[in-house]
Amino acid sequence: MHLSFPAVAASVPEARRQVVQLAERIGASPATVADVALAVSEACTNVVLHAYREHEAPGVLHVDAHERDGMLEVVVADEGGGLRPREDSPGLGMGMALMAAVASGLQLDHDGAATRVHLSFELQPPVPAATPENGAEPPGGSPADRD
Amino acid sequence: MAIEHDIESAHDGPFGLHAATTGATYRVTLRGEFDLAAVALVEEALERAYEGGVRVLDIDLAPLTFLDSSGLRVILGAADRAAVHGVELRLRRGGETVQRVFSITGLESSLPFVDEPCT
Repeated sequence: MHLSFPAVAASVPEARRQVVQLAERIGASPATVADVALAVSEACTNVVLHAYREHEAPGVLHVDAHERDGMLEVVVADEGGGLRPREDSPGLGMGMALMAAVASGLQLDHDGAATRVHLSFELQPPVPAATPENGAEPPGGSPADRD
Repeated sequence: MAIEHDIESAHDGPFGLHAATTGATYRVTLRGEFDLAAVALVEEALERAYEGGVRVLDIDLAPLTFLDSSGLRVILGAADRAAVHGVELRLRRGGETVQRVFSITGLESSLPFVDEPCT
């Protein structure tokens, strides 16, 4: 799936929902779907807020998503200046922290013409073994409801 | 006096808010998906909390189905401004999908969450 949107605030929920729908179609667990929603939202928000600050017109927000070997691979890219912090919007650090916390893999690259955020997610992550500390359900028990 | 705002975001994931003043309490109820697209609307509604006469600002996160760092920044800004204006802030907890954003960022324990419905 390849999607392109104007890099404006209204595109963030639209992009997020389309990737979430793909994740659901290919059998991602509810927990993974929630992780995908949060990380994709953060990556798209970064493009809208940070990539085209010196442009008069909104640039382009690219979102690619596909399944590979039990993983959902998502690439969020811009054609602008990349993920530079800005003093009037100190959220870049929080967004990156959230992406790093919920994605199985996170990688950034910038080639001078575009910045790409690569996110990967396990469609069916293993259920943690039950311990007195984490209170997780044993395999075969009720799946954890993260919603 | 009560004000009400509703917007319909793209596709099937609406965001909406209801804001109303009762005595010295100003309550803002947020529902749906709170992301960058909803920031301006929420910030506009929250401005009323700092215009004088408000002692308590209740923000109800329970009806939210999604929150990201954009929404989180608005909540943090509300906490800062409420403190400056001498307004007591109360945050009704959201569901797990919402609360984990506060938890991951280490902010859950520093914000005035309450479990009971805002009154």
